[in-house]
Amino acid sequence: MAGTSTASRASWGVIASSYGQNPTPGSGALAYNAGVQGNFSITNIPTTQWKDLELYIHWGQQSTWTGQGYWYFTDQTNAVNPNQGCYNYWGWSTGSSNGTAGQTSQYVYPVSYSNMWSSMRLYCANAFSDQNTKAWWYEAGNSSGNSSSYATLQSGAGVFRSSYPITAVHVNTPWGNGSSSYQGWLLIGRNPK
Amino acid sequence: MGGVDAYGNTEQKFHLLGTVETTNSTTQYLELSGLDTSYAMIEFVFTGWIDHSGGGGTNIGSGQFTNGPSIQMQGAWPGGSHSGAAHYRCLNAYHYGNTSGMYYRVGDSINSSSIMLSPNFGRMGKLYYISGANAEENRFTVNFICVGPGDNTQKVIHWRGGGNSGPQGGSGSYSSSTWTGNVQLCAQTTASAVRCMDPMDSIRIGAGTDNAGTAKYFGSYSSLTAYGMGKSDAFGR
Repeated sequence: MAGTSTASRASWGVIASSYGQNPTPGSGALAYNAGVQGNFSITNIPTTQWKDLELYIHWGQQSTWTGQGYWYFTDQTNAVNPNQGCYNYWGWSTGSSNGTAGQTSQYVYPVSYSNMWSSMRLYCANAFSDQNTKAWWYEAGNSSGNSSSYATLQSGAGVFRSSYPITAVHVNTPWGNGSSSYQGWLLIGRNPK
Repeated sequence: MGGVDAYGNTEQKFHLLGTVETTNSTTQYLELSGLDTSYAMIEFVFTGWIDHSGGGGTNIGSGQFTNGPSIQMQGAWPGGSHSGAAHYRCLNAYHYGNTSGMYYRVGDSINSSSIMLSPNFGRMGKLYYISGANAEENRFTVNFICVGPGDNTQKVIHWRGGGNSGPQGGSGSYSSSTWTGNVQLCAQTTASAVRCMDPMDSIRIGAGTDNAGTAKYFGSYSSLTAYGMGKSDAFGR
């Protein structure tokens, strides 16, 4: 824990802390891949040092048309359905999904093709803890490219209902043919245990 | 810019400044104060849930919309260092998973207020409460940023987050939502002296109240964490 806590608890329902000037490192890079090809999984994520997960991804498909990708977490049981949430997207295409569960339910739409930018930021608090429900949110975007008008923004949120730490993130793109020259990811641990 | 700071970090710093966490359902507010503001940005992360089931507080009926958490800053709350200067301006935007529409409310989002200025607090999000079954699964995570927290100017906190999926795999039409918005303290009106221009060194997240004004409480293992990022000299200080 950072700082010198003078935490006090009032009888009327406040947990308050005042901190001295003694900060500690708040994050660290867990893993990255600067050139990942096609669909990919980030596995064997270290779960001992940090509580929260933060993930940045950029994609680049080689097809001539966009489509939806999806992502999901797994824990040590590899169960496919504890991830549940919703998403909305606006722009070239507009749509939404309510809180469905399942391996392929968290769309990223659209994922780019050549000459387009697309990326995603995902945050999950307590991802690496044994808390029985871990809440996450993400945002993603896709540029218009040089010959089309596919620009779309997306946001989503939900929970991962498992008491095990998250140990893998799986990402599938619409065509699975993203070039290692244009795809990559960075995984950051936040909030020291 | 750059180099090695007093804590041995190279380049830009990212520090954990403090954290608080509930252990049961008797906490109405999570509060951090006295934070180091010598950063380019302070980031807060809240994760937790509001216990609508009556555990320690108000029992909300199943199947209705409820307000999300409240947010206060710079000690502008009863008993705080700026208790007399609480004039919040807030934009609270959110959407539900069953519709592509984005909705928003202003001010403290009490009832259907269209008045942005509130003497109470800002508000984030809106929730659909399905039932008390496995209510602890109705969790959400919100990240807040305040750029230039140490500057003697008006501070704004912007957030992004959401969550709150239905219990036990429920897939109700409104069971999840994503949130974005911002809040600030009004620094001056035509009739007032300049106020709240000191550092953004405290934050308070509240579980809110029911429509009758009775306090609600956060559920167990709800937490609020603060980080400082970057060197404040990025802003010439």
